[in-house]
Amino acid sequence: MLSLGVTVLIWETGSRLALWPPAMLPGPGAVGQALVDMIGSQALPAALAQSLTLMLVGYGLAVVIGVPLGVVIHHVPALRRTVGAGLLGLQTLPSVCWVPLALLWFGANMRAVLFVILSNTVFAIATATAGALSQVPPLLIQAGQTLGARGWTLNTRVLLPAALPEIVAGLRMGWTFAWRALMAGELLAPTAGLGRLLQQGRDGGNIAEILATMLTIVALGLLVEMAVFARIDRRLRRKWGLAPV
Amino acid sequence: MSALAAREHDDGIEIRGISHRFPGTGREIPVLDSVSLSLAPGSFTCFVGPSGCGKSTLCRMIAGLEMPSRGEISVGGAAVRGPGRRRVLMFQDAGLFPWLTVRENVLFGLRLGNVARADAEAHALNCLRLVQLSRFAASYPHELSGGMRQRVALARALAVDEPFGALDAQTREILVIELQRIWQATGTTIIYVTHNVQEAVQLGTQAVVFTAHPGRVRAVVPLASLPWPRLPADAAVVRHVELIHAELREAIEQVEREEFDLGWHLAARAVPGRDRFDLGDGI
Repeated sequence: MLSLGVTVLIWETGSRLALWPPAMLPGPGAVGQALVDMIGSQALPAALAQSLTLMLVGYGLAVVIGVPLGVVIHHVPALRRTVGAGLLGLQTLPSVCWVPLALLWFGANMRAVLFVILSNTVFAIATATAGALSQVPPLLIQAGQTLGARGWTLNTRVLLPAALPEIVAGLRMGWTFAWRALMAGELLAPTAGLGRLLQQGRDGGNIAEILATMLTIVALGLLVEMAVFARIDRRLRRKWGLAPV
Repeated sequence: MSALAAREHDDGIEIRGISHRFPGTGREIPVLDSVSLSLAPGSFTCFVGPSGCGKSTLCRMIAGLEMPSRGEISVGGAAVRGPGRRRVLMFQDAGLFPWLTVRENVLFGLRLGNVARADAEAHALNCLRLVQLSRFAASYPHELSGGMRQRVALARALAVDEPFGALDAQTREILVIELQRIWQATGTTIIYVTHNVQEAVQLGTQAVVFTAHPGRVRAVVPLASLPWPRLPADAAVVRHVELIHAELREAIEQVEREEFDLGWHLAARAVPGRDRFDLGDGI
């Protein structure tokens, strides 16, 4: 909080003293004004709603596909060696690289952006889930078996709960992947989200607007990280008796 | 305690000609060699032997977690084909589920067995009382001491229908007394793996002494004739402790002798022409 205040203070002082051309980097006051204007004109709330909707749909789908895919990969050794390795390779591909393909396949619309989100996030979540399952201590699996759990029950009652903290860590990583993919997609495909606002700012040469949008994106990312993932993670770790990371 | 005490007899265990090899680098390592044992229903058998004698592996086989290379194990007349609720193995480090409370851990096996919710709850609580941990029903495993966790694991093993407990509990603390009380109350067939001969004599209806590399049965010492309660100073207890110790010493010396022979054999091959009697110091 303090470092944030100091940063803003230096930023403000610098722009008042005109250490750099104010047109290139407007001060916090101008950015704040742009933020207020964009909220007033409904541009920001609308873009925010659009982006969040896409994000929730895209991320939700990625979780629904990615986690079961991870479970399947874990249980089929042949898949683990082939598909698992392949997914790891695909993960090194930055999300923005999927955009040209998405635009050609789906056209310049929301489906293309959704595809960009899924292409990256599904793989990340599936790999993380498979990895989490492979790290479950054999002792717990054997304990479950001697108590009569097998097949489906062994998976749902022992394997998945045992791997849950690690799976959540994977979901957390998947969220940042999805968030970045969303922005990459929106920048290049003409949708009405936050990425589009950045693009509009560029087209209009309005740097204050760009900065205001960027701040919104950071704030949203932090909010989800702290209000959702950090909280779940802390609670799980406490319950499981694991050391906090 | 009703559900547990009502059971009048439990399944016996037949172990016939069990041999087992672990895959090793280069060659297979024999762990068990032609082990045959008969454990009467409701008996309390203590396994003693040097480390590496395969006693834990044998327990894992009875629990169905591992399949022997040769031979067969049957419990209550039925051949063991995989893990099941009639045979519960207690693990050295308890193996409790960290995401479940003590109560939920004990309920785990019961709920899988389609026991009605209310009955299962009552039974689980009884089992927790049996190990004197009902006050900790709502705690999580990581909030308990190692010994307490062992007792929860014991309660969990007892809770499932017709339990057969194979105990590999080297970290046991209070468990021993607990175990004896529970065995007397339930008539469960129990195998207890221990390094402590004194304990074996005080607890068991028979003790099995193993030799190592590979594990073979060296002696089966019947203990059922010793009167209860057994105190460490009782003449019969002392005599049997000494008897088992002598067997155990023999078993360990045998391992050492074989180790020496093997060492000499390898060294002799590595340094041909050297006097074999010099090699002893170097090994």
